[in-house]
Amino acid sequence: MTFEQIRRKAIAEWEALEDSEKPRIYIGTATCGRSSGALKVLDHLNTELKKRNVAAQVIEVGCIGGCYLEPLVYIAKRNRPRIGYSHVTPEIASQLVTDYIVNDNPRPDLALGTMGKGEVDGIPSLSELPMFKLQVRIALRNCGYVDPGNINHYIANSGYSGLVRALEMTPEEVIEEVSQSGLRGRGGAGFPTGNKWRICHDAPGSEKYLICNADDGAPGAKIGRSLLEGDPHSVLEGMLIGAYAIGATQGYIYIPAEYTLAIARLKTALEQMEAYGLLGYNILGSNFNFHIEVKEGASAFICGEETALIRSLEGKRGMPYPRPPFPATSGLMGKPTIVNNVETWADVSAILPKGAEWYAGYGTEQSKGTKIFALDGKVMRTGLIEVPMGITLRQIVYDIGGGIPDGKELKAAQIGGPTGGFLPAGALDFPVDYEHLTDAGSIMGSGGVIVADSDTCMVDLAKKSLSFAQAESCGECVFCREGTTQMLEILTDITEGRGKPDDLDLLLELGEGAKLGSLCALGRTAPNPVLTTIQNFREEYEAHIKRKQCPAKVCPKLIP
Amino acid sequence: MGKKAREVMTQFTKDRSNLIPILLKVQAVEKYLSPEAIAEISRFLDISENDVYSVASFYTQFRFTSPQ
Repeated sequence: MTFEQIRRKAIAEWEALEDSEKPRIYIGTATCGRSSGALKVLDHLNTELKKRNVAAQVIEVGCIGGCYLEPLVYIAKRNRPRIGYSHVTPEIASQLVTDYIVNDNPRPDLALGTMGKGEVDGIPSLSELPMFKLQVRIALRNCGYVDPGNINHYIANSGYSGLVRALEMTPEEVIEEVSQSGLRGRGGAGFPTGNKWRICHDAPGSEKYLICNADDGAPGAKIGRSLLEGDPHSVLEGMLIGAYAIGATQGYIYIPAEYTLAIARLKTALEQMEAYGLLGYNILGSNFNFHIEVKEGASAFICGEETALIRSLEGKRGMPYPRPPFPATSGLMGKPTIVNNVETWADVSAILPKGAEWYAGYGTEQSKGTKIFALDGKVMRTGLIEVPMGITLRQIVYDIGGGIPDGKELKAAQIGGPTGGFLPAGALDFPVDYEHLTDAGSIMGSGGVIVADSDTCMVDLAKKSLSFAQAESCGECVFCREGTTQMLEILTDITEGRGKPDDLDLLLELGEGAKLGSLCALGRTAPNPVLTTIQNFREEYEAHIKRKQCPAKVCPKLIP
Repeated sequence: MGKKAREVMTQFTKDRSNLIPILLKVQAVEKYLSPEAIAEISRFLDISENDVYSVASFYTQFRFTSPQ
């Protein structure tokens, strides 16, 4: 079959589904949905439909990002948009079957919003709701919308057209297109993706490797997992495009073994690609050959670092090695290797069909496009959001996140995961992009955004963040291994009333040492939470040290 | 190492890059990595037991004593 025939078949299948007489019930069963009981709702729906002999099709989809809304169920009837219902329990599911599917009452009182073309009286469109309005969904374009287990759904929504376009171009032109788009690595460091590819493309040798880094590592910010569970083909297509551009024939997906659902979705997706001639030898009739293997890894935060990841893939301890040589010239098995994370690959597959100019139309001068953030902590609406670079922290926390619960004030926000810096309330109006985050002593990192409210003790929070990095240090560099341990001891002393006047100077010195004296980003960023809280909340540290008081009344030994 | 774990192990090719996947699968079957299992994995991949331990002990999810 040619791709055109595949595409027509896929579109016909998608249209037949959208146009079917039978109502369709979509249910979000990604890991976040499952932890809120989506599988129970799914079981219940299936038995209910059977028991009452109602004809309807139940389709599992990924997460749209609104983790606080789970379990989410959408019901679609012919010529009407999907209607989303949040916090669905088995009881509500039964009611919806009776009221909407059988009696045609869409229950606007229970509905959250509509998705797709058309309107339903009394129900707003999801994209008009405050949490979605400011979002631009590029990497997340299909998550929660298509069936991740069905390649035809992806193809019918312009999937693999980027690969088709890439194959009509030369590898150099593909690299140029990605460079022009301004895409920078979404794994945190923000290295320009096109440049990295060019280095690898120009490196001598015919054997080259490509790796998809699916090790999210940071607690909470499971962006890669959500993408792989909700739309695995967007990531796989990006990998194909990258492999064609750099000349790799073998790709690996490095994924923690505990991501069982994402691994299952990937394996299904790879089988479907093979059946369509999108993987293996002579892809789509061209002379481009590429194979992908899913490599289950042991969990370690450090293995998100590219050189540690490569060692782990080689069956070694996940410890970084000094660069240069960069993996792009000497990586896996000493061969030129490209490592990009899940989100970057999903962006690549969106850029190719629509072009560099379109992508570069979003974002700021230096940071183009969009970024997915995982919003968590003391904020009303938690979950994954995708926003243009340069959006302000205030828009993220207040407009999209709905502000702080119980009418409290924002005290600080930590961006970039457990090794990100804490930005104070004064930084709310500051654009979020690579440059501004670095200036403020923080990082893009994993894309985690953790909001702290006025009841938080910043010393205690810095200690908690540091204790994560300290435990995850691989032990290779002295400043990271010993420095973070000493810093953690000093912070523990401060929070337990044993703080000494020169502790702050010592923390700053140790922190700067770890930043300068560590090989990889873990050690270089581990002190950020401490350094930024000393910079922005020094008086709180001083209250702990000089007056032996915890102003927020969090540290148990310092409450009078 | 039990029969089942051995079957799981021998499905992999004798390539060092399969060490971590093998450790994961063997532990999934036997709930921990026994000295006998480490010895068999070392023979299977033709690397030293010391080497297998050094890798397995790096990752926090591997256990060397039975959970019971």
